[in-house]
Amino acid sequence: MRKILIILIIITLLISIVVGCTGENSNIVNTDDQSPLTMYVNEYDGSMIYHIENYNKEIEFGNIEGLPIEVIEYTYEDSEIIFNEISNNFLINQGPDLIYIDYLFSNYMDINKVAEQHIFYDLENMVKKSEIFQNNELNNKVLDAGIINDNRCFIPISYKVPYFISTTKNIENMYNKQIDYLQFEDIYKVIETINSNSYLIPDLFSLYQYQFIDLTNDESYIKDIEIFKEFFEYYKIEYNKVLKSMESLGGDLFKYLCDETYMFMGSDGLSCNCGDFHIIYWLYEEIKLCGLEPVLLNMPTDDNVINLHIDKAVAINNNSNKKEAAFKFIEYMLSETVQVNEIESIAIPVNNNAYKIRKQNFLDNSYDEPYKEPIDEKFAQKFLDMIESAEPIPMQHSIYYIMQNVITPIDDFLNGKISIDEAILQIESRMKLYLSE
Amino acid sequence: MKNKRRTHIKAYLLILPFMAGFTLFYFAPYVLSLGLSFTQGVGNRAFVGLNNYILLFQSEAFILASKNTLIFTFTAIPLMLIISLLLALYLNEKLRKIELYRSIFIMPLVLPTASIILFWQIMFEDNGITNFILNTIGLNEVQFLNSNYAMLVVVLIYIWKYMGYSIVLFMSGLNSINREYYENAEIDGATKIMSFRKITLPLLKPATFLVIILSFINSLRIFREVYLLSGSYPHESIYMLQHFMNNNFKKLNYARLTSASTLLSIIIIGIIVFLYMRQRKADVN
Repeated sequence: MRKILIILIIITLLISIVVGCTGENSNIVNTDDQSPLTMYVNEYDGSMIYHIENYNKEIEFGNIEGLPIEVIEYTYEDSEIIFNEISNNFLINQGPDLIYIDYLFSNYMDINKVAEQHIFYDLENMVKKSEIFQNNELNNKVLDAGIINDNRCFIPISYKVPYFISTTKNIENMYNKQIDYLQFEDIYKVIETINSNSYLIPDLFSLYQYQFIDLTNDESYIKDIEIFKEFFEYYKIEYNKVLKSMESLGGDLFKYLCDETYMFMGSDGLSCNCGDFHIIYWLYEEIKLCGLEPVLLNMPTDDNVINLHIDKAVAINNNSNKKEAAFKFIEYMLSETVQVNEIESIAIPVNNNAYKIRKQNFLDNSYDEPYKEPIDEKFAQKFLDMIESAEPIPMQHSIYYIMQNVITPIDDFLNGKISIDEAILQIESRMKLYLSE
Repeated sequence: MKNKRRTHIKAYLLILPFMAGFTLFYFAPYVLSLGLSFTQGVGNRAFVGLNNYILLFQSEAFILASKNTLIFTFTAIPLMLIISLLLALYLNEKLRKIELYRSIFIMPLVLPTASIILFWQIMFEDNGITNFILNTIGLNEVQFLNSNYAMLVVVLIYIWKYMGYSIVLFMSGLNSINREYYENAEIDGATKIMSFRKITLPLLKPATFLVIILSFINSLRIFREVYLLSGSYPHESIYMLQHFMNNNFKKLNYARLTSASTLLSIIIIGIIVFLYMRQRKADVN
């Protein structure tokens, strides 16, 4: 009996080693499979769905050679289930051909960890053979944000540059003079200004997460603990002021609320999370119509570098056997025709020609429905300078994932359950676990 | 001879459905995950031999998780054995409404986990009942879920949840002991403690072994409660092996996950085989 048991164990081990050795090789780039490509897209992402529908039409009319895309739509509420499903599919060498990286993806998956598992196909060879990439038609600085561990894992399609917009009157009140550049210490006044009419931008918090986290330092994962403490203690005060105001005022607190731009409007202070020509023009016009003079300022950062945030990106599943066809879609999304379409995108295009066209429209107010107030040249140029000098945030998606899923003690601190020192201890402990797992 | 063969064939046919299900849903996935533990990467899977196991022992998170799991196992199981045995002895004294008490102790096993967690949160969160009582009697509040006391809470939850099952098993074991032994011992002048040591404990060994094995298996299931209570990254004192594996699953690090689970399975099988062999030896003696 014992001998049989030992033989069984040895056979099991041998089978398992053989199974391990014969893991599927994902070097297959293309096959004769003509079935549609698959891609998961949130049902509220009308922009991406619109572009995919257009792409499918182009293929149908024979204008583009490639495979149509089957969109698998999911609701926001089902996100967790969908991403678990996608994870399971990756494990069994399946999953969507095209991997759409938006804020939801970053919420549920740490891009860097996904990249470490070679789930993203290294697009470098395809990029080298692609005309649109080799003809300098694209913003290489932004594209390089898709390189992880020397592999070109994903291609950014659009990006945003956050800024702070206010009025000269407000700046005068804050600083007793006009300024045109905000330092990191000025963030306190920024929060206070936004809060002056009991309005708060919740996403200001997620904007500033990148300033605080350092994934490379084993001693402490928080870049500067004193600044971290100071910022969040101040933020907590303002946060609670808003909660109290919301309790007392109730009802319709905000004049304007735009989910996509996280913008709140007060009579004296405004701020905006994302950068796009239309949105900033609209804000500029609204301030002018109120009889005030708009001022554009950078969102202050600790290293005084203006950050750009990758808004949307696309990757190809390493397990896909239709990689070439999938890459055609990426080329399509980066084409001038698609990227210049301002109606369907409120982010900044990666295509240089599209950017030039949209920039010129912005400067000339040459839209189908022009704005009432032509934009001030100095104001417009400042915005363009900010976009053009912005740098991608290193490990943006990892940090976003970590803030959403690992560093939740900060919420306990904001809700008064723990002190900032306890929150910091918990954050450091969790970060250590997360990075050493 | 022919009849014996026929009987054997019938027996194998009867257990065939179970064996098919076991092979399909347990053994085959186990073998596959064992194979995965020797590879790295999900796309472009590469054979890396024992590298995953070596990296596992270099992972601080794994070391911490293993340490916490050991502490929990060797604290919770003995405590639960003692408490459930004592309660079983008490309930075995032919109390009135014994079925009611039995049902009360079994109840935690059948209640939904989410409901149980709600209760424990109310008990032990920062503004919970326990802190309220501590404040009332002039003591400082304790962060039960975010301090080293978290282990105490987890042990408490474990005992509360699985104690009833152990009590029932012990009671069944106690009922199988012939009363005559106690009567004879009493006649010979043995005290209650002597009877317990010389009669009850030795004859309760089969039930005790079963309780230990089941308690050990159940100790690994406590992850559900801990996860609902404290999330994926709880306080470091209750960060267990299951957290480690669950988090690696979320990160798609299947190599790390499968190597940790293989290691854990080897340890569990080893312990159960050891206990089984001890039990057989005790039976023979």
